[in-house]
Amino acid sequence: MRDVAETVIGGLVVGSVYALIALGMSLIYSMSKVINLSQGAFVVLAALTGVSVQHSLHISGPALLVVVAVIFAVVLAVVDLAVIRPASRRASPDRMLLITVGLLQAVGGFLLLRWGNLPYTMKPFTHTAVVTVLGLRLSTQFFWVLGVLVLSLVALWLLLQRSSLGLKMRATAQDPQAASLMGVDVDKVRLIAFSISGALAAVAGVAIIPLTFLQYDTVVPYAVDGFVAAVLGGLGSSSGAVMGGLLLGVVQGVLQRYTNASLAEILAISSLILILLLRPAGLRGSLAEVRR
Amino acid sequence: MTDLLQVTSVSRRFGGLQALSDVGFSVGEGQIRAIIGPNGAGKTTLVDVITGFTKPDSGDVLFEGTSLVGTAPHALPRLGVMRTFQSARLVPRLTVAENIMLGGHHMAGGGFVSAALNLPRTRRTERALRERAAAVLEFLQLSSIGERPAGGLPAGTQRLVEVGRVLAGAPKLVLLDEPAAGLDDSETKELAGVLQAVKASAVTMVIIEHNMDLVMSISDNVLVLDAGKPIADGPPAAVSKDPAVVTAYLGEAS
Amino acid sequence: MSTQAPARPLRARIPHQSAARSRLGTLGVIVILALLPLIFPAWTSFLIVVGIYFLAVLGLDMFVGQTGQVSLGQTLFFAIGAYGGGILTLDHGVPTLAATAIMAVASAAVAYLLGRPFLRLRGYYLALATLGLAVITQSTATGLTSLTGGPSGLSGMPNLAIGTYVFESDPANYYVVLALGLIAALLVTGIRRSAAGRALAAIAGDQQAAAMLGVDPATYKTRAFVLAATFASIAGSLFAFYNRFVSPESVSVVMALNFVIMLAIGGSRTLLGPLLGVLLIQALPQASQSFARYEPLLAGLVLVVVITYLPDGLWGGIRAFATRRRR
Repeated sequence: MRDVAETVIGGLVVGSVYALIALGMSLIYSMSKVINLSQGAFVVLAALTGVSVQHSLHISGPALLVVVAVIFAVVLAVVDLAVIRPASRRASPDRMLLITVGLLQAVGGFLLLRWGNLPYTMKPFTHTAVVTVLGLRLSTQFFWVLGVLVLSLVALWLLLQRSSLGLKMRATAQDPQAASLMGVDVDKVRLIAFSISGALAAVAGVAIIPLTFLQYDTVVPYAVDGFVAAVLGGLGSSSGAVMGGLLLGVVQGVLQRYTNASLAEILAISSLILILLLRPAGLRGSLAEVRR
Repeated sequence: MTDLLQVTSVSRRFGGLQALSDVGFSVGEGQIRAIIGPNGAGKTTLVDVITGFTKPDSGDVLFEGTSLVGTAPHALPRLGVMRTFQSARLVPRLTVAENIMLGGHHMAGGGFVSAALNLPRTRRTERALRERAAAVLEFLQLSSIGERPAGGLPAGTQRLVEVGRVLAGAPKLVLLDEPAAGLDDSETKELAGVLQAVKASAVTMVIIEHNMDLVMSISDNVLVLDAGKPIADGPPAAVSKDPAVVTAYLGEAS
Repeated sequence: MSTQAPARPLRARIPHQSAARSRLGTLGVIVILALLPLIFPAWTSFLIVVGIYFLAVLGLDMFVGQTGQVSLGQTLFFAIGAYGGGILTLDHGVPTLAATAIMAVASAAVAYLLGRPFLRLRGYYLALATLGLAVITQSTATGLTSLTGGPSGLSGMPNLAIGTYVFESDPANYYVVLALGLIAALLVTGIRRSAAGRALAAIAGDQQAAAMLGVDPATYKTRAFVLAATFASIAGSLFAFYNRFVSPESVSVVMALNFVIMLAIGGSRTLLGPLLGVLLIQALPQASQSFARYEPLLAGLVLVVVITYLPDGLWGGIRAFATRRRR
């Protein structure tokens, strides 16, 4: 029983990272109808950036979260300005997916050049690495990851529901043309969406790296799992993205604990494909989008 | 005269919207039937029902006496039913001639294997299709642009090519969804001329159209729809004087 | 409506001249290709790999370029060809040629069975579902150790052989790949120029309009998918029998993305586009050992630039540039 509980909590922690990736993808998709397959790659990039920043600045965990979040808010804004915006003026949505495949590849390539092919990790944010709660032995970093997810959700909710910028974003998500006619600067809103998704990727990466090892070739699994979570939840739905991410994390965690890693992956992805085929709208979302 | 197409009391509901209620009409062989009505009157839904894209909740569509309901759209050209869409939907990267050859797709023989190996069966039907396309281009006086990609053509020409594409399929019944949309006056006149010539070759047509001049000049009968209900049916001259029509549609237009 | 005055003389002139010229050009290209291993013997091994991937990408082009669909899961069929061919020859003593054929048929069957349900999905969802196939392929190759040899892969399968003749040397393998590449090019061109090719193009344009022309989108999409799978499977078998080795790295998710990247960079719906894309992506890491480190970054950036600025890929861009110059 204790074992099951620890496995589920571990799954929720990994799932939080998927949820944050899916949230970013979902946000970008709502604003610009682009699926950013490279979203997961930026999680790894942010994590290793965090390792390097930590190495030279020696700041606390929370401070590192903020610094890397700011850096990646800028990085993703630049990505939007330099890559996505010029491309989306010329390329069809299907081909935009390939643009982000190229980004995924480029980020992986940059990681290989800058950090080599060795795996990296980092010390947990809190000195006491493990605590016992209700008889469960849990890494303190778990709470940081879950906390980061909860804080991100609250911040995002406040932004979207309680600010004038949020109103503009919701209008853009609903109908970019109408929003633009009402005076919303749609390009700026999209830029901000990319910035936010950059910050989300950054906090996910920095929070998870003390629990794992990351290197250039972990970009693909994160990209795929984030994409899976986003679609599982229904593209464009924030609550769906979180549910999809957590669910995927737990399912993978449990399967990995009781089968082997490869079988876990096969079972998780097979069920995703089955869901796509049988209930294509995801946990939330509408059917009309999925099929022709 | 026998009726080629009979639509009997077709109804169709989308959620809270009654798109069509109890619509019926028939088209005699070789006739042109126009369907007019304000935007949202259910005209395109009606064509979608006839061509199998939408299933009616009730009612029936009879073509040559047999029901079309439940027939897949791609099976219709073989029966002799073809349609065009509101916006020209040519394949931009194929040439004009290739686009027209697509209209005769249901006459093409052999599948992938035959095509890959360029077997006699494929070669024979390709030759026949190319000859058909050449004849259609000749008829439309478009022979000179046969080898151009369809993508860059002006709207009026694209519309003619689309009509040509349908003709290449040797249809008995053609449904045209707003063929004159986006055309200027001279282009519309040219289109009307072509449609008259098509009619002369005994092809039956159903036309959805906003352009009243075109409707009045070529159609034998006009059905007027308003909010999914038929409000008038008859020859153009009679329909245009019908008070219900004047209020619902013509009054609004003038 | 009659702005076509200059088109008539153009049409009258081009066909004859270019038909003869292109036939001569094709012959020239074939002769050059046949002489390559004699001119650059050191490159033969590289050219064989290029030829093998060309086969897979050319098949994929029928589904992606011609039909306008997405598949990020071509490694599934490449793996069926490679691993299936390896297992049949190693464990069951099936001759290589027969193993290649059996696996090609098996791939076609799998593609047919997956085709109907998968191809109802649109755009991103089809992309994700096929990406899922790529993940399953990689995980199976890594995890199903008893069958696939796990991370260290399968090795020691025989070279391709016809009867008693074994294709052992690089030149011999090169000519096999060249012959298959040319046959594949011929088949693909045949389809592209026929009613079937036009039907696929119509589906790429607009599925509803295609249906109203008598083209059943489901059937044609499945056929294109089956064709792409068959080509990928044969490429996979050739890969396994030439290298006498296959490992999860050759059927990884990264490789699955690479198939699409090669096609997108080179350009769709031509023969030379896929060839150019394969050459570039395969040649970059070969250029030098230190350069190999830059390959993923460069490939990614090139893809972004090509998709943004050259909708028909590098080869399409070159052709457009050449036509503009000629005018």
